[in-house]
Amino acid sequence: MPTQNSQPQRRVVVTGLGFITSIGNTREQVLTSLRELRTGIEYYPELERTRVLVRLVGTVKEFSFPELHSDEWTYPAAYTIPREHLRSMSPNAVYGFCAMKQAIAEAQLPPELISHPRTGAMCASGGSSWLSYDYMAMMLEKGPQRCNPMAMVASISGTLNMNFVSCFAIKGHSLGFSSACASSAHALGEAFDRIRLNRQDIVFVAGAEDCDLFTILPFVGTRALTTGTDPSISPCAFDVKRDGFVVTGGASVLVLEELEHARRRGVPIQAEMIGWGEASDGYSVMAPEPEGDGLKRAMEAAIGEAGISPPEVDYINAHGTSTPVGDAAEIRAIKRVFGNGRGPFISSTKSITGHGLSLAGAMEAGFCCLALQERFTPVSANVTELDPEFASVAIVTDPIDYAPRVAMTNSSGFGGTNVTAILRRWEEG
Amino acid sequence: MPTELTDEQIKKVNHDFRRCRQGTAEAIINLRRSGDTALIPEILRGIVWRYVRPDAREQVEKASLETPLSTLGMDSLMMLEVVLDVQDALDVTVEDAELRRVTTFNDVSELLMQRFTEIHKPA
Repeated sequence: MPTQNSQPQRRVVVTGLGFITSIGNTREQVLTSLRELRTGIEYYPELERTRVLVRLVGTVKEFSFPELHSDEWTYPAAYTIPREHLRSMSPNAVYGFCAMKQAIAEAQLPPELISHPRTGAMCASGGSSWLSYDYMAMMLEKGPQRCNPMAMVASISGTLNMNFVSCFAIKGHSLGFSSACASSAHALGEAFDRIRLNRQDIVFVAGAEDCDLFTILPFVGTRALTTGTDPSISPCAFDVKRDGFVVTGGASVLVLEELEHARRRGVPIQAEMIGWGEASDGYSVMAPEPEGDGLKRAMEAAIGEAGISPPEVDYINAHGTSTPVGDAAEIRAIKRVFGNGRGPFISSTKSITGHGLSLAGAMEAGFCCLALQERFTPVSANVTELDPEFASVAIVTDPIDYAPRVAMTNSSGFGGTNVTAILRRWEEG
Repeated sequence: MPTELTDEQIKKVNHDFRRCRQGTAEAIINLRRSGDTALIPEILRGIVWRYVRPDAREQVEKASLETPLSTLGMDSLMMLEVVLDVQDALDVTVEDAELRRVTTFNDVSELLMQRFTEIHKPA
């Protein structure tokens, strides 16, 4: 019970979104792809150069990075990246810059609020393996003094937060997160906490990844990728034939803002974030705990923090990478949290986007905001033969006319780290 | 040391320096072929032209050899980019301490001529 002296709980809302994804580089394109189940996954010719069977990638369109020198990089004409910023960027920071511009425009943020001690940036990127590799080769061949002095800040995993602070003159908190495929979900949770705890009023949450052979090949080594060649069949999360995921890159940005701050500015509110939770499996560096133990506890923690009961969750945007063991562990965890009934609707949007790795959490939280605001339930693509073990839960294999009010998004990463975030449709009052 | 360049080397120079002022790649090829260090000031000017902001290019065209490079709107990173390209163009390595002593086109050109002659002197 709040006492007379206690401050009311600060509430956190989403006031802006930005997307550079395989399924679209604008909010409208992403919305259309999600509603009409248009895949962003396609045949990736460069994989022919390698001795692997993997052929599909969730490609990012309208960008090209043909060589190391950033003067040769191309990006959509709607954006202008000054040379003094571009030269320290990685491809994922370029995607991030464009997504950030969209989110800033949606949130109607003036320069003095973007660059403000109470405005921060929580970012997640795996760095740029391509730039690391090629620049290191150049340093060894010609010597470090004859290599781009920006090579390091462009390559390492902090590249997104470091570039954002410089490009957008961020004056509040800035941090990078490195928890593999849960990285930007952790960024989202930390952003939420910093606003709730009255340490920041606005926090940009950004996830971004390069999308090239250097991102893809290490996952071939882990045997985690599908060898399917037809994006209308693969990847197929929750299907009995699922055989792994498809890699994607790009960037997504959410603007999280304290409710009264957003109200005072009079900007449209897109959704409310009401809680998050995290837990680790304590099991394996790579495989999920088979019963989804960590994810179960993350979901329970998020539900507890949100102050809701499990039946109030209408939709789960699953981690759902389409690996045989990963999907099974997640559905087992969901069954344990939501009981034996049908429970919330569940889908994996990764079946049309690919798996965005560090980007996935922010991208899928963004999709949840769209689903809540635009009142639709995303479908899980490519399920033709549902795994019988999942028959008792409500996996959305065909379009349904359902407007979720509360959406949950799950992210799990190497090391057995798990994050769940919960968002609610914004209804004034 | 004047040398004949392979087609592959010529192609690489033309590719690497195609964004520089017109004639720069050709001057680099001529320098490598002839060892004529008198070409160095124009090579330097062509590379600086690439890295300054587009609205400062005219100023670079007109700049006298006594013009300090810092007056062309170049920040320290742009200067480094120029140095990287110049080192590649001339295949020389210039030490940071040497660079700190030079400010004008003339100073830099003289330093580069000296380094080029030391490194590429006839056997």
